[in-house]
Amino acid sequence: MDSSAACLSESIIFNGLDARDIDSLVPLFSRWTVMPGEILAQAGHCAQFFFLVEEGALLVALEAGRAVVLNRPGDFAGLSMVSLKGTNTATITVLEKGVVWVVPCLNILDLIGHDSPVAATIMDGWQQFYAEKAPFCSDPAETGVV
Amino acid sequence: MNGVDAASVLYGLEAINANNGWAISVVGITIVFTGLVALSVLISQIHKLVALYDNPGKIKKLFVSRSESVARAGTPKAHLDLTEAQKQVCRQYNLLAQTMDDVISLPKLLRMAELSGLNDPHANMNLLIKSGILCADEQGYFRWDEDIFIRTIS
Repeated sequence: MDSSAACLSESIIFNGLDARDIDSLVPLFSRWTVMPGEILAQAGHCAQFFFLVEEGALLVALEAGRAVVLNRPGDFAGLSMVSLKGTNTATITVLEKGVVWVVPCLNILDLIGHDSPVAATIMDGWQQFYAEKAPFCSDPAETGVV
Repeated sequence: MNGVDAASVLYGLEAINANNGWAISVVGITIVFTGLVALSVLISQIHKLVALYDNPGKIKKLFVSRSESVARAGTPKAHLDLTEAQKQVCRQYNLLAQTMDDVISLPKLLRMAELSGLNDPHANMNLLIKSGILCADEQGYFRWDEDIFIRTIS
């Protein structure tokens, strides 16, 4: 199992998928090494990527000065936590040098847009992750779909 | 015929009837079919066992309760041994935090650190979080833990 598959398997969002589904997701992800201070996404800009943490820490700055720190392998800066209708709603900044797996927003949105067991599993995981990491936000089922 | 009365020896259906043969065969058939059904059910579920073997995360998920996962998500409180330079950084951020409300907006604190010209604000912010001095509340804000701060810099 390569490190992207391992990272996906470690994520609450994706670990409900079976090995075959995870293998099919792996090609969608690219590995980035990130440095402290690097801005991965800027609020108000067009949403391009979601980020899966393998190592390091990301600060997700939300509206009203709120923030979420993603620092566990498998934490996912994506979907409605960071974007809505194709626009970033949060600024994602790197706090600690590390490695993130980057996936184009459209690929994930396309995947969960279909009525399939994979989409249902991802959304279940997402709701669990969202409730844990950002309980102050409402409507975790909102995906940020255009 | 070896001392057995030939007239009392039964053959065929009569013998089956006389020795509960029908009942015995029904019981036998029932046992065999029950066994086969149980076996087929077991085989039909093997793919789930294989999936668990392929993806041990699922096993963990079964046993990790929600409360444990919430606890895991919390900011680590482990005491870190900091260098003198790192302790000085903590003191600087303490001064910045004192200018804010009880609840701290992390992006705002980061911006203030940048404006104040503090070195490596992102990495140092991460240090404060890792050490537990800055801990998240459930509203998306952070609190400065004075006890951990004092223990850490002393």
